[in-house]
Amino acid sequence: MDFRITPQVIVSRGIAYAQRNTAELANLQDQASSGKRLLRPSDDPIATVAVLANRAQSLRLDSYLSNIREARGGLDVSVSALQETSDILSQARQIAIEGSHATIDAAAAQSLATEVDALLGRLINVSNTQNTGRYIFAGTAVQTAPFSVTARDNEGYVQSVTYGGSSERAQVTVSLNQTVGTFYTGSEVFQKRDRGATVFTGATGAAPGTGTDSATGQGTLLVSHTLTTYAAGSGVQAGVSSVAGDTILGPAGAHTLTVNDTSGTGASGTISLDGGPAVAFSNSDTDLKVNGAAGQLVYVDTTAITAGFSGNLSITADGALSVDNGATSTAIDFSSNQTVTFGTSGAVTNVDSSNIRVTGSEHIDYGGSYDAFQLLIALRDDLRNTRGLTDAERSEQLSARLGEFDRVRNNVLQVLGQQSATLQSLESLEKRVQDIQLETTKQTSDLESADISQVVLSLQEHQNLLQLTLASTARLMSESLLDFLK
Amino acid sequence: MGGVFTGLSALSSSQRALDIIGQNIANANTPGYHRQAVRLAETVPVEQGGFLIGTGVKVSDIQRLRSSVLESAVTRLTYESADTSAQLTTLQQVESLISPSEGSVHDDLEAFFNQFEQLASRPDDQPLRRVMLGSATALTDQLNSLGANLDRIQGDLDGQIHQSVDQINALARQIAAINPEIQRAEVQHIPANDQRDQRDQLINELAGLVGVQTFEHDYGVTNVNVGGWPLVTSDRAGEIQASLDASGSIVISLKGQTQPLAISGGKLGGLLEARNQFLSDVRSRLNSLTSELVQRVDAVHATGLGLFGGFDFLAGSRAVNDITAPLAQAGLAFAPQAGSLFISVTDTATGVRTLNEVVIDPATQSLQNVAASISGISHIQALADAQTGTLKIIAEPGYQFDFAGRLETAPDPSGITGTTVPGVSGKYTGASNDVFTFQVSGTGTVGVTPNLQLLVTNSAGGTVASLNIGQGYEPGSVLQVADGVTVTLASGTANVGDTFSTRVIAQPDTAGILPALGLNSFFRGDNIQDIGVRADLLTNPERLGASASGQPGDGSRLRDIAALRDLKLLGGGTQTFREFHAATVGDLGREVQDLTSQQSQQQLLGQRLETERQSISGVDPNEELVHMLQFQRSFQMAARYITAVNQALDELVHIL
Repeated sequence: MDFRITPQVIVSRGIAYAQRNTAELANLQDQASSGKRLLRPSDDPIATVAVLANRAQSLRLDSYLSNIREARGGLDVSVSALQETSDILSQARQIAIEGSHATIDAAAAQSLATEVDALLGRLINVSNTQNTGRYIFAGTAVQTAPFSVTARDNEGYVQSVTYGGSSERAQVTVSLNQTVGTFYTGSEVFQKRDRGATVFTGATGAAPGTGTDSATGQGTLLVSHTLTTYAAGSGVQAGVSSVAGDTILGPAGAHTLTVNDTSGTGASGTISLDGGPAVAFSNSDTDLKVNGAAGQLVYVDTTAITAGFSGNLSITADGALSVDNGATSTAIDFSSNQTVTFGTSGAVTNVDSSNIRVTGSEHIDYGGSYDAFQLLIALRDDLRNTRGLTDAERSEQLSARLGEFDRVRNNVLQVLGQQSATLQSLESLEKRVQDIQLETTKQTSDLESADISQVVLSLQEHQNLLQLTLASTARLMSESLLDFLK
Repeated sequence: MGGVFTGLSALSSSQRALDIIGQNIANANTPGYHRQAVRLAETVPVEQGGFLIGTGVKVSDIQRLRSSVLESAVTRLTYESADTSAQLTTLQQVESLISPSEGSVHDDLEAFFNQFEQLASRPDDQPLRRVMLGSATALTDQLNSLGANLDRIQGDLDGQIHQSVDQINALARQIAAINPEIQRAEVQHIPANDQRDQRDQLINELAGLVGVQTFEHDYGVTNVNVGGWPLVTSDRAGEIQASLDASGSIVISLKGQTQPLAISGGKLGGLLEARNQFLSDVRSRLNSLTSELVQRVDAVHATGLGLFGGFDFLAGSRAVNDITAPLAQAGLAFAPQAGSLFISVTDTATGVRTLNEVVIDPATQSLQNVAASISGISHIQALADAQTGTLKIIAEPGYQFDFAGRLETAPDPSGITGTTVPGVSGKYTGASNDVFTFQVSGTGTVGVTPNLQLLVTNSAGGTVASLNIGQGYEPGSVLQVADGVTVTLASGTANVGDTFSTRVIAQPDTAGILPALGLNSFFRGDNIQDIGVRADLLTNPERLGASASGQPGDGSRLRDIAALRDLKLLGGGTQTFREFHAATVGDLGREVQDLTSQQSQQQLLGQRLETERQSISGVDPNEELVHMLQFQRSFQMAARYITAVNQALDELVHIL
């Protein structure tokens, strides 16, 4: 049979084509009005998934950017705080150089000390710097002031500053699997130590031991006398003031007492210490002071000198060591290494006590162990001369400590360098992230945006088609045999 | 005189023909109408004068012009495209629901992790904590509303399915009613064309609702099968019904039978496919995304510490259905596995912290057993609440507990015969749980004696570090061991063989018991319907488990949570959370795209079939007009013929 075309076909085709074109026009209108090609996932599922990945990327990059800015903000504050720290230390070093001149008088030294105390105050402030309410040198303990004054002397001067922050740096994620430490721990900035040799200054004969100390900064070793015992035979005994007054120390044989009983009955004679001047004694002396050649001193009781004794006798002089001004003390055992403990902190000082011969005090400088605060405290106190140093000693101590200033300041500068480098890399990271962000946005827009010129062309085309469909349908519909039947 | 009858036959045939033409013109626009044509045939000739002479014309048949091949193609296309469009409608609804516009689950998911990462930079910032919790709430709200919308769509589908079932049953009854009418006519050889048209139209309507097979029997009786089972048999109509099966799917069965019908095609087929396959697939994908997210985030969060450190009291938020049943069979959404839970107990006055291991075997231990094991730890008590099915842990006054797995503050000094006191600190960064054993080699004084060493070994016996604690070591100063762990030895003596050890914990909950029981969780619930942020976190953001160390500036747990987004945890370990969701969106888009192109193909095919059908069965009014003129003429001519015959007879009559 021939293929018949009925008017219904023309009608339904007309409707179908008109609808198809209208639908396409509606779609194009959507694209033209929204500027987007992807309005529903089904418009292009593959591109949709890619756009989603890009959008997630873009959101994440935004988050990284915000974190980078956060990190940069923190580091900026930190860097300026470190610069100030470095300034403070430089100024203090300058004062130390001035103070090391032997010629300055006490009043000038005191005014320098006041200056240093002000610097110390500033340093404590700087070390407790906050950025938006968070302490930047407290590690992860950002809500606690990291450095607090834990001891003051009678005049109210700060004696000790302690770190109370955490031992971990706070981290900020700035990129995929990349975190930077922004909040450094205060201990690594202000309290970094590089323990070196401990130096004893004094005349007792005490020397640093072989062990490693844990005490820091500077200290004083008190070498005191506890008991003098004389070798048997001569009848010489320790005098009444011996315990408190004797200045000799040493194991048996280290000191020698020479007794010459000129009376032959023990009633009188002479006595001398370590070849010092002979002192006359009688059998009524219970507290005879005998000076040695080098100024050492013993008190003897000569009431029971063995009759006719003439000759040398060996002395054993025991003593004690203390690093906390006598609060706790350790008996001297005259060995190559003795551990002396600071009572309250438990910090140890190792002492070679084998050559200790006289009492006295040793100024100890624990090389490489100063933190920034100790350094300023020690400088101030030496300028105030709380340790009773002579001008020469002060000058020596202060000059020797200049190295410590350099070490502490170098450490601060090193941290400053690290942070500056981090800042720099963050800056370039920020730039890179922004570039990637831009690229991602561009890609997204390529995938997502409608090609407007093409949309407009298609719109025109489909509009034409619709008009043609309607026109042709109308034309065909109007044809009928009836028009020709009379 | 046969002439009159011949003319009469021509008259009546033309009249029949004109009737049919009238019917055709009248029904030109009736859906399902098939053009009818009159078949004319000569009548039987009679012998006259030795010749066989024709006696006129008769209507031999009134034929319905239709191609059964084409009609069955149309029927098939009807139910296929109804199927497609029913599916497409549903899919498009779901598509617009999860379409990745701004503020969609996709963006919220990304924002959720971003907020964790940003908060990790300033974890002590309370307003920022609220912002983060707000974005978490936005995500859970979004998931909830998605769940509710999926429910709503499912409800709509259920309604439509029941409606379709009713319509199918009504149509079946109508078809069954027409069958005998046709049979009655056609037994008498009367073509029941109009009833057939009517029935074909009903069958096509039925095909729009469900895929059908038709079987034509004698005398025009047509049986209709649905899903392989007879729905209409001659004049009997079956009835189908919809019901829920055990898995929550809707199944269709014949009334009075339980055997489900394999329905395919038609609106019903499409609705069933959309509801039972597609919708439940989308829901299960979103649910697996949600439950994985909840479990992972909770597992990390549970081991975190808030701004105020440990807990005095903690109640689980996920319940078992029987506190005496082994955990593996207790109906937990996140099944725990065999492993350990490490609980730290801190004396708040002294700060001394102990680390305690609780071994968990879900195959044998019930919640009650676990509570008993936890209660075995000094200073804390655990209780399995029979009423709620949850676990509660309470610390004695002056004590706190947590699951951060931090190092013990003081190692057990009982293995040390010297006077030195050891201390361990730091944050373990290793990958697995271990025990570091420290042993002194050499005898002497810490910081003084040369060659005094501290050997550190791990539980496998491998050497971790060998540290100098003799001459050159500053007593009390920090020595790096390995993986972030440090050790100190106070000044004093140490003897050869002196030993102490410390547990180092990378994963405080290898059993996964914390997320399983919802202890210190971040979320509540475990699926899209009931997921939410734990209520007391929203009111007390300081409880957020941000840190591993308890320091306010430590955001390491937050960072761990943020890191989850790059782990390929879904799709059998091939997709991250975001990728999985994007793939769901993409797959959905692809399905909609497929169905849309399928639909437009079906439309094209439909148009072609309709054209073909029209070419056979369609009424062309012009054609009918031509035929009308033809038969009009034929009628006039027959009339004229009769007149002629009549006049001839008149002549004869005049003769008389």
